[in-house]
Amino acid sequence: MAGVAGCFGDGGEPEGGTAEQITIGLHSDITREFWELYGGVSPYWTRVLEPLLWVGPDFDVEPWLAVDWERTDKLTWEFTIREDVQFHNGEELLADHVVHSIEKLIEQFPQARFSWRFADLENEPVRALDDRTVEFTTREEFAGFAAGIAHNMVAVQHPETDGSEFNAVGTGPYELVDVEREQNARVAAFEDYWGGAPATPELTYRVIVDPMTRSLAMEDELDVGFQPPKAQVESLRSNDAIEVREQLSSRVALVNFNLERGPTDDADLRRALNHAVSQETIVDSILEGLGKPARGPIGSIVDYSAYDSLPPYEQDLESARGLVDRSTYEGETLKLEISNEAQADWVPEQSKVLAEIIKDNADQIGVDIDIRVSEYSAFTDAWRAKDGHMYMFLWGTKSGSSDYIFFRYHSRENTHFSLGEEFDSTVTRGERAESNEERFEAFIEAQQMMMEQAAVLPMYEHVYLMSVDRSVEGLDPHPLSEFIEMKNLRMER
Amino acid sequence: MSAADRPQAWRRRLDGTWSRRLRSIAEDRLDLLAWVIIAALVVSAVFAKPIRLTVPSVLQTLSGGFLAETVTLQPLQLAPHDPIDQNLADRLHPPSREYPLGTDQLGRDILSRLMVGARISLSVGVVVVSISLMIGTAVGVVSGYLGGWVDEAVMRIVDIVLAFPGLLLALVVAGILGPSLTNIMIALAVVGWTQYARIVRGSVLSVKQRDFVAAAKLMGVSEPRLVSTHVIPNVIGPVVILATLDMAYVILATAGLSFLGLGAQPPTPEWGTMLSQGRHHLLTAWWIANVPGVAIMVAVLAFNILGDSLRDLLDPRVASRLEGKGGL
Repeated sequence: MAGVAGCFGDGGEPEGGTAEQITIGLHSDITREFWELYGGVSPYWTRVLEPLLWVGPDFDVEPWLAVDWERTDKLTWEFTIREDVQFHNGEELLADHVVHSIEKLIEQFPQARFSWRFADLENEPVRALDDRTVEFTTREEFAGFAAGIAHNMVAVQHPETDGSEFNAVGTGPYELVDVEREQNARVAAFEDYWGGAPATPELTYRVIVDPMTRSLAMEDELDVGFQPPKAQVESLRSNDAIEVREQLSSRVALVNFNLERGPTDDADLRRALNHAVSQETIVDSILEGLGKPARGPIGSIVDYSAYDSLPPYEQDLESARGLVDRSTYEGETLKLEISNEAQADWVPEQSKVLAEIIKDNADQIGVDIDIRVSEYSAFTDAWRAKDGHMYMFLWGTKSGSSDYIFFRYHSRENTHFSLGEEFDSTVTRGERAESNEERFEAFIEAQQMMMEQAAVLPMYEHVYLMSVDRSVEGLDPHPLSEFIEMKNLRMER
Repeated sequence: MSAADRPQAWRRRLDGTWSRRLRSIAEDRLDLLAWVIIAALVVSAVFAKPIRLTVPSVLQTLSGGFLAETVTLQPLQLAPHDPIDQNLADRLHPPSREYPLGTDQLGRDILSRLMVGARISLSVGVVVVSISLMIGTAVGVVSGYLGGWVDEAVMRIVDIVLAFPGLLLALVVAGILGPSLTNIMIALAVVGWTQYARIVRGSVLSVKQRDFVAAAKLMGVSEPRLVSTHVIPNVIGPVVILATLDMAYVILATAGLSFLGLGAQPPTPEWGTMLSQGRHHLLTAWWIANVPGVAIMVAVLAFNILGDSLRDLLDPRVASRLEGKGGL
């Protein structure tokens, strides 16, 4: 628990002041091997490493380590690096550091090529034009490049960063002190931070993957707990010392249909399943009202969500049965794949309950569904092998852009969710658009096509929760929880 | 006493011993409670809901339409509700007259799910224990009876399998095969046969030195007959006790693996799965997790006590004590 700076009474009891340390319980393992790329700790939440651009609470892309950027060509972008930024080891941030960080990312995280469209390493995806200017080259025309790299994983790190030694050298308001794998990570305030020193000298991030344990730990071990189970919210709120904050996020819980495999290649069957499920019931009963019925694959909070222009597939079992009769479905058992591991804000038990509701609703329209729960790696293997009919995900952007949501539906990525040439060209039009308006228009059109074809079964827009000790201040919710600023976090005693 | 009277005398003596042994069980309240619990579990497993068998289409065709698509083996239903019927209006309902053990997060009756869950737990237990017992007994008999390099080779394999913690190995096997009850059965049987093999092998080594085995050999009894009629019946006692204790382990392991998501798939009302799904409601709807938790504990305890009870029943030393004392 938090140590205390300030006065102590005769008995050694704290009498007030500001906490010297705050303990935060996280739902995600920020210390797992995957994060060795960033020095052994995740760039999400810890604020040790920083990206070039930041995402504001309204999804505006804001200057961060880069103060200015412009598209200089169809494939190239120039970024100007902020001056007087120091790494935790005292060295000044230069363009070469950015080049090193991006090359390391492309080399060690192959998906970077697709997510942010960096050109291949041999085609010089990034180069320093001078000490303060960096030029990026993309694989193809990509209007959303700047918003896309406003992402914590596109973080700038010093070459001394070494994941095997848990040594992360960044420019963030906190520097890494130590890491205990699968247990916790400790960070200390970096006094020379370019944005001013943080309010609290030390933060401890505790990895508590089990939501119930994390929720119970709020009693005496944690000052902040991410993602308490929705079933515990009422109980937490009954504690006067704890506040539960909620924030609609960009993420949408949905079921993807395998569009290549029968019988889910039949749009009528997919529409029938959309009509079988009641999003309102899911939100009201299973989520305790903490969610928003979804209409499409992109959450309504994202600036180019088509939410307002998408007609909801309301629950209508009669119409659904009619659509099943009209479809090519002949009583086959559909495989609904779900993962039993926490992914992002996903609580596995919740996905099982959702799968059971879908199965029950499908039964009512005469469609048989078999639920298959597997580990995340087996789940993604089944997905890649196109081995199922339906796959449940909690999807959403973690950056200032959601372009990569469309990747899975574009035929160039060889997915089994491809919606055809017209959809491909619409997405490509959005990606190559010169203006945001043009880009948004194309993406909204793409979402409308997806829902007209019922390519997905959207269930709800995710609300993430934070249980917070009432004496904690400076912790503002953000639609992307990964962009919650910890610098101003402080706690009164 | 004439020679003709002797078998009846032996039978009377034997009957007397068994009745004393059974009486001793009846007098031990803990033993009796275990037997009652297991009887209740069996009744629940059999009669929770009708047992219907799907007839393969080939058989239906061969029978000329005589066989229906499904055959009902047991038509009764003791469970008050359908265990997988969702009723969201009644979700998280505390125990009441309509739902004696409450409802879960999807409004399903916990009592009904618990009763059908007993069928799953006992079925898995019986199948796994039977497979393990058959494989282990066969391997143990062959190893112990033949001896030599066969014994060496078999026992080293057993040592290797036993070197791994059983549940961990089952976890790995279930992980590789994928999550399902069938795969859990395979996983548990793969690691479960070794202890039977070891016990049977030890008993066979002892039995094959006995005079009656030598006598049977001298009389020209063939080896397969010798093993099946003289050796196996004399080593089966400890195996039965082990099997009973193993039932407890298998029920616990199945619940554990299902809790981890490697066993029964939703909406199957398996106890471990029910426990796992109730975790998030521990403080607000305690009955969802606690009821299956208690059921697992009681079933495991009952099978363990049953094992002890059977040991008393089958152990010759206990029998002689009973006879010497004229009963307890």
